[in-house]
Amino acid sequence: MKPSVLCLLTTALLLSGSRAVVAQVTVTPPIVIGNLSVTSAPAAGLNPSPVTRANAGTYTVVTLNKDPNTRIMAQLSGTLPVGMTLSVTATAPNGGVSAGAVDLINGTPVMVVSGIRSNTNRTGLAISYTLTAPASAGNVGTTPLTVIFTLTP
Amino acid sequence: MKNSIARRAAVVLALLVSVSGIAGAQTQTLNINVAKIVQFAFNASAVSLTISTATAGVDPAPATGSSTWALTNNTSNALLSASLDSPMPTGMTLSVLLGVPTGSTSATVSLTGVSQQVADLTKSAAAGLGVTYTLTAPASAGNYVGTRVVTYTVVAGS
Repeated sequence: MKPSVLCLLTTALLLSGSRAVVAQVTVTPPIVIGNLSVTSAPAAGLNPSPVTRANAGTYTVVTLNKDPNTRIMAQLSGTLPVGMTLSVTATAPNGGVSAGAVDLINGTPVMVVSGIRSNTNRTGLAISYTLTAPASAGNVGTTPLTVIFTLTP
Repeated sequence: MKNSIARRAAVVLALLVSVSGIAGAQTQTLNINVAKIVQFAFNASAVSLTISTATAGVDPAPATGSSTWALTNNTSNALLSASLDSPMPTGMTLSVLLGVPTGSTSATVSLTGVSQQVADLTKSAAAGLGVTYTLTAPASAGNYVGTRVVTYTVVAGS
């Protein structure tokens, strides 16, 4: 019986190896070039204008045959000053649904794309970010923030 | 014993499949920056102040005039100062009191040719804030017709 057990283990490892490279989301570039900077208000008496980085990067999504409703989740790693918001918008692949501009939360994943069909393989899907900073939120020097994207079946 | 080994193998198989179904997280790092922003604007219309009456035996009554201003400030303790382009005639005074957003402070200040602080401003965005000017001219100061320009400057806080 020992040879049969070894055979079972070997099979398990092979299965694992083939699955690890299939369902994935890949984001590029890993570091967005330039700052997302709020610099002025449209007029005295109004809050500073939000700033949007429309082409902050792209992502590739690959799903499996057994994943008919995959979602892309995003979360913030880092704390924004109180009152400021950083939202992300991700273009959905065909068949999927973008949640539009979604405010990112430190440590809590939020859904940015849902309904991604099985056997999807799309590249070059756009990612954009918008930073909002009302006057009451104050100012902040250059601060790096990391956005974490994950796939959820 | 054989069954135990078989069960362990099955558990290993289940674990391997469960952890490998979704690839690892992807990250993207971006740098944010919110500059110090202090923008303010005063209503451009001129304010007229005319002293024209008095009760016999008493100095002429002061005259007041008002206007508005707006502020966008995302710094703490921004200091707003005001000055006149030239001093008032001897004995006459022109003072100003600014309406300010909640949390800010201001006080009535008699304006001179020297820049003087008129408000300490907190982080806020507000329009339609009041500006009240008061002109006093005791009888001993005589009469006068003239124009003064008030210049406001701000120093951003932290």
